[in-house]
Order: sequence, then C-alpha cells, then structure tokens
Amino acid sequence: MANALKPADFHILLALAEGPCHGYGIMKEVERESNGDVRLEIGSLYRLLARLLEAGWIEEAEGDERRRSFRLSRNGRRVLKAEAARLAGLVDLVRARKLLPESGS
Amino acid sequence: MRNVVAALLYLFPARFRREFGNDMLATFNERWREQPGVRTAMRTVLDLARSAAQEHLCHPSASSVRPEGDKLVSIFLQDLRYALRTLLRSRGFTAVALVTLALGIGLNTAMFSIANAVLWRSLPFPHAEQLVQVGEVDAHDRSSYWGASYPNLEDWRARSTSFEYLAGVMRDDHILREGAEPVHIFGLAVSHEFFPALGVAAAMGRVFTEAEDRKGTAPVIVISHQMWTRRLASDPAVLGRAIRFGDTAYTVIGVMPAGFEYRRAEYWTLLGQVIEPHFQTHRNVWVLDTVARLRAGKTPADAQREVEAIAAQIRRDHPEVRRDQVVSVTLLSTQLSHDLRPALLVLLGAVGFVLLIVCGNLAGLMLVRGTGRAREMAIRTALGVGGSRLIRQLLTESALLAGAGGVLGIGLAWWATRSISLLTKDPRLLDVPIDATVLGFAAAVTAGTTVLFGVAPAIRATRVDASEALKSGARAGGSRERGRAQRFLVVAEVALCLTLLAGAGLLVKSFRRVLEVNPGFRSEGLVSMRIALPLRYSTATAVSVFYRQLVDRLKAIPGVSDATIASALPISGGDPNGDISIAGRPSSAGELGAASFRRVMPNYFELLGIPLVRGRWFDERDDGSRGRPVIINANFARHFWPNSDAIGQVIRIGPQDSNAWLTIVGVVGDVKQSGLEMNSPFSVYEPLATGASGRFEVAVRTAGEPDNLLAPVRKELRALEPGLLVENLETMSQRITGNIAPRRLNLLLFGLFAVLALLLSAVGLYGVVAYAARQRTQEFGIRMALGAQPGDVLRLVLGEGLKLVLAGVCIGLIATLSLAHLMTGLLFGVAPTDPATLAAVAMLLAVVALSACWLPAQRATRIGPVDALRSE
Repeated sequence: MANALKPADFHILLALAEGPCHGYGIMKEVERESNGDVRLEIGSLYRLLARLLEAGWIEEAEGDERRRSFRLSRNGRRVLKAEAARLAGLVDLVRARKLLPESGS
Repeated sequence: MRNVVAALLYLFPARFRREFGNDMLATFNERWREQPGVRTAMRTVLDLARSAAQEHLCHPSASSVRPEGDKLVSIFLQDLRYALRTLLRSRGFTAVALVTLALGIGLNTAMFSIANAVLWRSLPFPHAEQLVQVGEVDAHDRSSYWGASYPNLEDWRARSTSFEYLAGVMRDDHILREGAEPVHIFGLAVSHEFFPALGVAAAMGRVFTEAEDRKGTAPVIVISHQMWTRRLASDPAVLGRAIRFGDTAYTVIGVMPAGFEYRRAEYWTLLGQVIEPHFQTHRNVWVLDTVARLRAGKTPADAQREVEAIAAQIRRDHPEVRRDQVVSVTLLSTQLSHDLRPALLVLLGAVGFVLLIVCGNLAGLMLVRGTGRAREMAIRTALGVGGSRLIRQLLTESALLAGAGGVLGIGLAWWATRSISLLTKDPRLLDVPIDATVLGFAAAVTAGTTVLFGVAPAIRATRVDASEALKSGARAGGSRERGRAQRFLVVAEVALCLTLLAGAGLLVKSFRRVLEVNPGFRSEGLVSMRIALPLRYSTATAVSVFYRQLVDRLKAIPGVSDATIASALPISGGDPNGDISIAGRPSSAGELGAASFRRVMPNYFELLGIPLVRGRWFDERDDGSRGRPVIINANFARHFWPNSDAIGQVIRIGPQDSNAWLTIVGVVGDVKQSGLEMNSPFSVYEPLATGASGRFEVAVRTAGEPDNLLAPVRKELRALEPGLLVENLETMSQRITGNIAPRRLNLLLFGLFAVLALLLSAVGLYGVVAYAARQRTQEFGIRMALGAQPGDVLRLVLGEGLKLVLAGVCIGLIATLSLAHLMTGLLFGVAPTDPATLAAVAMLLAVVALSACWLPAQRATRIGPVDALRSE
C-alpha cells in the first residue's frame, strides 16, 4: 500500500467516497473535484473501473436497470484512506519547508 | 454520434464490451445530452481508441486463453495485437499514415455526406420518387427554365391523366409586423393540390380546400411549425387567429408538422386568392413553379410526352403563345438541387483524387517499411510461417491503420460538415447529417483504401528469398523491383496532382475573369439597401413625398455626395420582365425577346456612373403627365436599330393586348443587372415618378469609405421613419461579393484539395528520391572517389527525380485534357483546356517537385567516399 495511487484512480475512489454513483456521475464528480484537471472520457473511465473492480477496491451497488452503479468496497476505503494519509503527510512536509502558507492561522 | 460510439465499442475486447458496453453507451448519451459538440466528440473518439488499444495490450492473456475456442478468431486477435505493437513501435510512420489517412477519408466522407444530403437523399415526403416538377424550358437550351403560366397549368391539369395532383407554386413574400420590428418573411402561394401532392397533412387544423382556391373567398393561410413557434410564440389559440400582410388579414387555418420543409417557406397562401388577375389569363408570363405527383405506374417520360402534346394543342389554339419552348418533366429532387450538382460532383471527384494520392503515398511508405522488415519476414518464413499468413499479418496492419484513420476521418468529416457554415449561407449545405449511409460510405472507403495501399506491398514484402535476405544484412533483395513500384506510384501521384492543380487553376482564372467583368457602373463608394415602407404610405403622393424626404436626409449626412432611389439596383436579380414589341414592326408574342424594366430617379444614371450614349436623361418633368418616356440600354438599341437612331422609337414591354406604348428618349451603357456572370440583355428604364411603390432600393454615393456610412445611414433611416424595414444595408462591393459567393466557395474547396494534393505528392516524391539516393550511397561514394564532382552527383539524383516528374506531368496533361470538359459548367470566360493555365500549373508542379528532390540530392553530394564505402 506504500505505492502512490494514480491520480485518476484516486479521484474515482474519492468520488465514490460520498456514496454509490453511476458512470456519468463519477465522470462529472472527478472533473469537479479536480477542478477540471482530470477529465475522464468513457473509454478511460470504464477501463479504470474495470481494473478497480478486478482489484476489489470498488464493487457494484444496486442501481436501476438501465445502468450500473458502483460503490467503494471496504478494501477500497482502506486504500483511499492510506493514500489520503500519505498525501496529508506530504502536505505537512511541504508546510514544514515553508512552501505553502500555514492553514488555520 | 451515438452510432459512432456504439461502433467504436467493437474495438474493445469482447469480454470487456459485454461487461461494460451498454453502460458506456448510457453514460455517453448522458454526457452528449449535456455537452454536445465537436470537443466532446473528438475527445470521446480519441479516448475510446486509446483505451481500447491499452485494453488489448494490457490484457493479452484475456484473449490468448481462447475463450471463443475459434482458431480463426484467435489468429485474428493475435495478428491484431501484433499489428498494434508494431505500429506503436514505429510512431513516426504511424502518425504520418494516420494523419494522411484521416485527411483523405475525412474529406471524402465530408464531401459525400454533403452530396448525399443535397443530391441523393430522397425528399422527406412519402413516395418522393413520384414527385416531379413540370415546366417549360427553352427549346434550344434545356437548362434555361421558364416555369409555367397560370392558364397553361390549368389546361395541363384538366387535360392530362399522368398526374394525381398538379399544383402551382409562386413566391409570395410579405412583411410581418407582429413583433417589435417588422420582418421580411418568405412564403409560397400554392394551389390547393400542393399539400396533397407532397402527401403531408397539417399537424394542427387543416390544409386548403378546392372551394377556397379562387378569388372572392375569405383569405386563409397555413403556417409552418417554425413560424408558429418562432414568430407567434407558439400561441395555443393560433387557429382562427388573423395575420396581417399589407392590408389583407389572413385567417390561420392550419399549422404544418415540425420538420415539414419546402424551399424554406414559412407560410403558404392560396394561389387562386393571391395571384394578380392578369396573370390568370396571360399565357406568356411564367410566374409559376409546379409540384406534381405522378399517378402510380407513370414515369416522368410518360408525363412529359402527354403534357408536350397538350402544349402543342395550346400553341395551335392560342397563336399569341411563344413557340420556342418545350415542356420538361423532371424529378423534384433533381430540380431542387440542380444548381449545386455540377460543383458537388466535381468536388467529389477532386477529393477522390486526393484519396488516391494518399493511398499512393502510403503504399510507398509501406514498400520502404517492407524493405526494412525484409529480414523479419525472412526469419519468419525460414521458421515455417506460410506466405498467406504473412500477408494476412501485414494486411491486418494496414487494415488497423486504415480503420483508425477512418475513425479519425469520420470525426474530421463531422467537424467539416458543421464548419461549412463559416463559408456559405446556402441552407441546403448547412444541415448535413452523418447518418448510416455516410458511415457506410466511410467504411467502404476505408476498406478500399486498405486494399489500395496495403495489398500490393504486403504481397511484395513476403516474396523474399529467405537465404538471400538473411545473407545480405540490412539490405533486402529485390530492391530494384521495389524501386520500380515506387517510381510507378510517384508518377501516378504527380499525374493526379496535375489534374487537380489544373482544375484549381481554371477556377482561379474564372474567378479573376468574373472580378474583371465591367459591371457597367462605378461600384466603388456606393452604399445600397432595400427598403419597405409601412402601410400608412398608401397613396402615390405619400410615397413620393417620402422619396423626396429620404433623399434629402441621406444627402445631409456628412460625406454623402448624392442619393437615389430605384425599383431595383444593379446586381440584384429577379427583375420583372416582359415581351418586347416595336411600333411599326409586327411580331408574334415573344418573337423579339424580352426586356427587364426598372424605375429610376432622374439622378440614377449620373450617381451610379452609367454613361449616356445618346439622347437625354430623365428630368423632373418626366412624371407621367406627358407621354411615357423610357431609356434603353445600348445593347437594346444596337440589336433592334443597328443602322438607325433608337431615339424617338416607340416600344411596348409586356402583353401584346396592353396599350402601354413607350417612347425612347435616351440610350445608356449596358449594366450587369442581375449579377456579374449574367449577360446584360435588354433593359428598359422608366421614371420612378410614374410608379411610386412602397418597396424600393436606395443607393448612396460617397467620396470616402462607404463602410463608414453604414451606421450613419441606418441611424438616419431610423430617425426618419421608425417603421421602415431596411434590408441588405451594405456597400456595393459587399453586394457583389455576395453575388459571387457560390463561385468563391467552389474555388476555396477545390483549391484546398489541390494544395493538399500538391503537398502530399511532394512528400511522396521526396520519400522516393531520398530512398533511392540512400540505396545508391555506395555507388556515389565510389564515383566521388574516382573524381566525380558534387555537381555530377546532384545532377544524377535530380535527373532521376526529373524523369519521374516529367512522366507524371505528361500523363497528367493527357488525363486533364480528357477530364476538363466535366468542369465546363463551373468556368467563366476560360476554356476548360486553356493552354496558359495548363502550362502554369505544370510549371508550378515541376518547381515544387524538383524542390522536393533537391534536399536528398544535396545530401547525396555531401557523402564522403569513406563513409559511403563504410555504409555497407
């Protein structure tokens, strides 16, 4: 779990942390939370979803019959938390080197 | 677009597609609903292609376990994966191939989709193949379409049996004053058979009845869905509502379905109600178009024979009917697009040539690659791989390339058909769908392309002697044979390119000729506009007073030297015209031809710079009180009075039973009344004061920049009369530019294709000459070691290129001479085999081609003998 997640994977997991979501919802959420930096078109999106499903980090949620919804698995939540912690650690390090303004003060 | 995505899903491994295909489509549909557009389309297509490729590469195990159990399929998948890897390895080659393929296939698909939509798609009416247009055409020039007169149409309808319905159609435009601003909208006056003929019923209300189709009935109108929604705010109580055009109130009786479209009409009135009474009796006024539905089993030829017999009888019964006309029955779909047909077909041919050049270039590249891979092929052959398997492998590569190129090409075509609105305003070209037919065409072109550029190199590449190839190191056997194939390709490309360049050259020359045409007046420093007065100017006096005020106000604008009013200005077209009669020269109707007439203010000629040849100009006393003076154009005078004076002669323009005799008082220079490319036939001018009308055109002369006058003129018009409808307020040069817009579009597109062809051919030539020079490195080294000068080597390499170029140019010239007549309809003032043009484009091509050879030749001269000998 020490390896960094790819940004797109991380964003998908993050988008699903809010709750189950279908493909287009994930697409929009990823774009929104990355401020437009990460844009997933359907090809890449479903390729990544297939990988994440295979890795067992996400699983299918009950959706309507037209399209499937996905949600974070327990394992996926752990991965996401670990990655978040890693990133937070990085941010602390960055702050300590005075590259970013202190937050909250 | 959805179909495109659905098709692209087949690029993915079957397992993946089965699992996620439907989901991906649903997701895309949602995205497309929110964000349709070129960007989304391009991004999605590119992303699908990329991720499909990655999916194949990352999960080779997925398909090599052979879930299908089918050997052929698994071999195919193996080939596909191998091809993908090979192509991704040589990225430069793949990129060049993809770009040129996408251009070739994309342009062809775009042109085809336009031609398909305009020329070949059936009209959106039930059994559209039974719809025809019936009309009279010039007996000597069948492309000159006159139309039909009202009484003739009545007779055709009454006496013929070929038609289920035969309807007359007449332009009937009006000014709508429902909103804040008056708008000029276009509609058609049609007989009650019109809607039944097209086979379309009203969506709300009803269409016309036979009983209404005559004078004296309450005016009724059927409106289009677009007019209902856009102009009348989708008024739910629209049926029964009154719409005022001029001083007539029309009751809305029906709204047509959305999507019902015929010649962009927004509404339909009844011909029998609105046609001017004298048009109902005169057989020598061709005011009508027609739409007819043939009875089941009848062909246009049957109908034509029958109507022609009726017309012959009419000519016998009515001696006043013009005789030099015949009836023509043509398919309605042909008739609605006949003006675009020649250009579209020629452009379609041109992009076809571009695609052939693309194929030539790619075949050349594949041959070179084949040489490089001879060792690979030899090893595989030695290991026992059969020739057909190798060919299949190589063809898979070509097909994969062409397929990817085709997908990119469809994207390009989609973008191109949507961007054409930047170049033209023709509504027929704007709404071009990429539908199943177009996708089918693109697929067929892609497959054809694969065969053209892939098969020969594949066969050739595998025909290697294994032991030879392995022995000779990097250099393959059979390179001489391969060189011959490449040279053949280059010659063909140069020939195709020359043909395209010649076409472009002819169009350029035609365009220049059109611009050089003397319009007969000074077009610089002029502002023109078309004006319609509000209804309250109902008397001739009120209109004349307004004329005076308008001219005075316009002349007061700083920079304006003069202003004038006329029923129509030059380069406007749509002139009213009538048969010429001359006093003391008995003639039958139409025997002397027809003249157009317009009414002008006395200062019209001076302001426009139309020279007076003889006699006098109009003056303020020519107000209709003392006879009817007219001014004619020089061509008119020359034609009818070649040896005598036209001044004082008495003529009549119009029906023979009218008694409106006109006296010629002046002769002025010829003017291009209806466009630069039209001949100025016979024109007659009358004083404006003899027929004041609320619809007229205004010209303003300035010594300065006419563009600067547009805003002040508009402001002045607004201040003078807020209810004015002002249209086409533009400079005269803008009006002329608009007049030649179709020609400009043809030139632009054809020129683009020709330049593309030139670039592609130059690249192809460069490739071949460079390759040939590299093959001879050793030879050059030896020559230079033996004392040859760099100039000698340069000559050697250039000579090789020159031979190819000359051969290509010669073949191209022959091809051009045999194809040139196809372009005749698009040219103006230049013969399709114009020697100067052919010589010029041949020179241009030779120069570009030799420049393409120059680089490799230069490089060859810089070879050091030692390097050359070591290169083996």
